[in-house]
Amino acid sequence: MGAIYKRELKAYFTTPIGYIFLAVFFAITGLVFSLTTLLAGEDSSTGAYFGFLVYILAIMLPILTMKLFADDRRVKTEQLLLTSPVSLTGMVLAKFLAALTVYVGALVISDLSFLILYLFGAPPAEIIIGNTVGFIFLGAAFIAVGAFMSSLTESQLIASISSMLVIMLLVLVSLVANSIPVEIIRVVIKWFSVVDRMTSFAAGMIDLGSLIYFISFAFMFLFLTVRVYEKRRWS
Amino acid sequence: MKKEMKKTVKYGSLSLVFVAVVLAAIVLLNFIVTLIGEKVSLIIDLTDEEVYTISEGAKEFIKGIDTPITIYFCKERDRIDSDGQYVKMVRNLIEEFGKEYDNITVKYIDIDKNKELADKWKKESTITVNPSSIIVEGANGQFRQLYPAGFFSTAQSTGKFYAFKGEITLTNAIIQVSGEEKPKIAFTTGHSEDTNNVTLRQTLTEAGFEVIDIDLSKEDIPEGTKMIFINNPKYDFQGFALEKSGEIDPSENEIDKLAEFMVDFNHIIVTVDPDTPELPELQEFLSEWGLGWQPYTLIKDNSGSMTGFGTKATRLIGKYVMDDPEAAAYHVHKSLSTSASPPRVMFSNATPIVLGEPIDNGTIVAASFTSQSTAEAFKNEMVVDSGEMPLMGVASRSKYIGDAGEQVLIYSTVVLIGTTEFASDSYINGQYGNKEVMYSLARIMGSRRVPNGLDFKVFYDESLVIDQSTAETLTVLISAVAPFIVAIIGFAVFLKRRHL
Repeated sequence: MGAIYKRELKAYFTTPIGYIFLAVFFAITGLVFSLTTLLAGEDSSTGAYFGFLVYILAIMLPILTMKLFADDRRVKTEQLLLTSPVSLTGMVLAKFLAALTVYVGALVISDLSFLILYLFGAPPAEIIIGNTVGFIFLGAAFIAVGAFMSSLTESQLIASISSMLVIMLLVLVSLVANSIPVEIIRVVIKWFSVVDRMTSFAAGMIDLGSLIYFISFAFMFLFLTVRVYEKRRWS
Repeated sequence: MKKEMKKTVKYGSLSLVFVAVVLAAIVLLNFIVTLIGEKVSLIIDLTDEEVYTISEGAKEFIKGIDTPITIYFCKERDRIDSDGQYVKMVRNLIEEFGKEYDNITVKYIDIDKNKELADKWKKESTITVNPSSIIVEGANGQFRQLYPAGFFSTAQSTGKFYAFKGEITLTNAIIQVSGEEKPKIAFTTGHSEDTNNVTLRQTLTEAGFEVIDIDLSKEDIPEGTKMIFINNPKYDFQGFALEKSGEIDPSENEIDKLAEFMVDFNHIIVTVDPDTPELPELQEFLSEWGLGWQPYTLIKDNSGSMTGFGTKATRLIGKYVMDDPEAAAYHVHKSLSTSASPPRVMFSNATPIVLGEPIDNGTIVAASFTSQSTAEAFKNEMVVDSGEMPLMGVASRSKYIGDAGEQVLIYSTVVLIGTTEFASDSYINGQYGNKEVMYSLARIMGSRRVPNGLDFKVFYDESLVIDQSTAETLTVLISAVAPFIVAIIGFAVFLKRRHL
């Protein structure tokens, strides 16, 4: 599993995909960071920055995950993975962790921008840390979705677009749910909303219930990815 | 072939069942966590001020209260998610109270669907119960209405919330509704007071009082009486002059009983009108509170009055006085005067109230309502005063009681209303604001104490002191330079690998 993890991680930085992801990620988050803090001046709000970050991840993370499994299918190296001594769970986990490592690294580096704010004010460290923790788990859930979508197709484009659609659905579901008059249906649908679950972190709280939700969400999609490969192995 | 098919179907079905079981287990796990979250706090509060945590001070105030308390949100729980971060903060705090104390229950109701409950509360607050309302109700039927904005302190200069005072607001409301029995309001008799005031008594009953009558010359004020209502007296009260001359026993000294009543920090409402004669004992008592009235003086206003039945120009439309937001006089009409369309508050057949210097320096005297600037006061058909004359005067005192660290602030008020028709059938209906003013008075006077020692929880000040050019330079650095460097490195690696 370690070998697959290292190989995947190396692949991000020996091919353009990792650099493109990082460059675009830094550019967009940097711009949003500046708009919500530096250029806002008196109206600076770290909460607003993290509010936008959810939508940035919804678009960026599928780019990171599109090649995870789709590329192996396309170049026919999938058979090597399926017949390797590593378990399918280990293989899926290794690829997932590689993508997660790149994402967490990018997130932490982009958070270094907050240090600049200390020159001009007193940004709330607890809220920044709380949000970063929340976004690590949120990102893990999104990456798991992307991994699953990537496992279903050999086209990276289809993998990225379908991942974006699923993630955007989870992000926008509360908007749709608000128009449903029946409370129980509305509550069930809103339960899937990631935006609602992130508001606690934005306010300076770590919500253990939301963390467990993100972990189980990631687990569910990774499990489904393993099932896809189980089926493929035996068929 | 058939065997192969059977195997495929068998293992395929088993696989599907396995997947379904795992997914169901995940859903069940999250469901259990949600249920646990309703009973136990699963939140780690990272803020310096512990904004989302109930402080030890608040716990001290609440722990001694055994009365079942129900806190109602007037909209469904998930609807509050769309109301913004601040309303969710209020919801979180209230739910934390519900988890911390077994006698506090939090409920969510759709006020538009629960007509019965809505009507019960709307009777007390005719124009303000809406989906944003938060009702704190005690087991004895007393309740207080709160709004999310009341849980925050607003900066005067920016109009933005700068601190969370939710604990103070909520603890105050819980204390107010947790009385074991309804407070009493006693209507005095024996001075030809108006007793045919069914609507007024009904209004006060709806406001949570037990209404009784009392002849102060014969009875002591019953325990549990919070307010005395002297409604249009025609004869003076028995006081120290009569006691000194030996005409009455000390036990028949009504003024002394009123004075003792106020020493215990209670409340008195007095209504008078142009026909109220000189009542020296009562007037002297009221003057100690800085209040008085001009006997045999009638206010007329051709411009600032309602036409219709009765004498023209005497159906005065009261003017809201907003000078001092901290004064009790302002709180009497705050719920009306701060609304988008403040209703008219009527003072029919009114006499001017006189605001003077109270004996106690700690007493604050102010007018809640005045006549319009076009009004004139007539005595013996001659103009004796004009302009904005007080129609309702409120004198209040406050003090702290309790041990250090657990002190509470209590109020005592005397209200003098310059009309005896303020709460008559004609004006107590929903068209005018008179009923709401009576409810406000009842609420102010029904409250026992306000908790002291609970602090505001100030939000982070995230404002930056930065000039525009520096901000723009840093924007370019962060959003362009760093990504550019990464792109260059990536390009270099890409070129190097192409040539391998």
